[in-house]
Amino acid sequence: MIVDLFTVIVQIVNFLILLFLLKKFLFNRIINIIDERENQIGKQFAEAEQKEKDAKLELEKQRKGREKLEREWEDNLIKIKREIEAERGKMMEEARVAVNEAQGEWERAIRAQRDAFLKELRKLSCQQVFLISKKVLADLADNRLEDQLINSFIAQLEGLDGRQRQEFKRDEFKGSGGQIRKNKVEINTAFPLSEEAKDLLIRKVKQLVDRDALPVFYVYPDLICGIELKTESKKIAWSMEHYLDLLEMGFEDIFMGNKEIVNLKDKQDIT
Amino acid sequence: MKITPDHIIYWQWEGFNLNATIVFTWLVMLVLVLISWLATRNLVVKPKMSRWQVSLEVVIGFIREQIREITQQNPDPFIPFLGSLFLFISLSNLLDIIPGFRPPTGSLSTTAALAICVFFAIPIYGISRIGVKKYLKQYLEPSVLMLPFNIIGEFSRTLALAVRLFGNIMSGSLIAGILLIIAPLFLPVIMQVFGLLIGQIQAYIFTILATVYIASAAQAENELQMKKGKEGSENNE
Repeated sequence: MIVDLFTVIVQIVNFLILLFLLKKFLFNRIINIIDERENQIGKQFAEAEQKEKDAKLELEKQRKGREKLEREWEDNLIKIKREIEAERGKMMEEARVAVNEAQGEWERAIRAQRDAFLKELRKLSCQQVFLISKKVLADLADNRLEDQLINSFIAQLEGLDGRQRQEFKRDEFKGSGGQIRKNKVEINTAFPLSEEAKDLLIRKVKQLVDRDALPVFYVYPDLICGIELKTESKKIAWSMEHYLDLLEMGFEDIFMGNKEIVNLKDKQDIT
Repeated sequence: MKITPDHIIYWQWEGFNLNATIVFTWLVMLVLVLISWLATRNLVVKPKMSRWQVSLEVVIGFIREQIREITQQNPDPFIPFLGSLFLFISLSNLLDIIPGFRPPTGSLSTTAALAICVFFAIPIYGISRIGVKKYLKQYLEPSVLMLPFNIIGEFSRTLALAVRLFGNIMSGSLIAGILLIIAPLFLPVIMQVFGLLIGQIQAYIFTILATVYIASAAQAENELQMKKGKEGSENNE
């Protein structure tokens, strides 16, 4: 017989014992270890995934933060640029105003200096011209300059036409107290007149302008070598002031850079 | 020459024979348990582990994956039984290479004992999974007329399991012995190598067949449900 029943039973028992021993010493332990390792690996994977997620979230957070900072930086930059531009404009405007003021001051100072210089020049010129003319006339004709001026003025009175004489005649003279004084005329000179000269002038005024005129004489040094006949609104005069004005205009033109010098001959006498 | 190691009697007492099958079975058991105990004494979870642990984990992992693929279920409840079968048969056949060793699997008593274990394991696993009623109902499928054939099928496949393993291993040992007489120089070596290969293949076949039988019993409920589902859908159509 190939099959031995006793051996079969023993082998069944042997296999069951082997099953029990292997289950205890091998399979359970190995399976537990494998499962434990798988769990551990699973946990590590889960942790890794969680960390990856966290890292992605952190990355996203950092990216958003960086973008926000960049935006803020750009906004600040634009704001600062605008502020700088505004400040620059303001400073430029202030500088322009300051320059204009300085230029105005400077021009005013220059003008003041020029005016002062011209005034001084005029005064000195007048004095010099008067002295020179006086000396020249004295040397040439043995006449006094004042007499020549009076003669020249009388010649001017003689040159008045009838209409001009009537206008002088109709004009009224308002006194200092407000009272109206008819027929009063002022004869102003830059120098004191002699009695002969006064009589001559009264006579000529009565003869040439108004028979009822009552001339009053005054001395004004500012007339600059001149003589004038004056009512309330009319005046006839002769002085060097006009010539000096032309001289001053010539100097002004020189100062202002005009190359054309005023020709004194082109200017007319004014009365 | 003795066909089966059952006939090699080492010790006898009142009708109880201590034959080579039992002795070499104890030897295989001792080796397996010793290796298991030694290898699993200091198990570690860390990647740095002993070679024994790695080897056993590879073997167990292989068995586990095979069972998972065949049963399509959690393999852990089946592993102790099927793994013990495989390891016992495999080591018995492997030790055949040692001169003087008679593999217990070359004894019909051993293969019959293993087949009987499988025979009883099938209903145990089946009933534990799907219950007595459903398990017994399988024998009436597809009709009551098939009951005797199903019962015969149960016995015949158990017999086939036992005889297939016994025949293959016994024939391998016999061929090696005969060739040793005819051409003692080279052929026995080649045949021994083939014998090793055949031994491992038989261990694999035995275990796979046992897995399939157990799995078919445990999966009966799923198949029935799937069948019912299909029929229901066809009726609806």
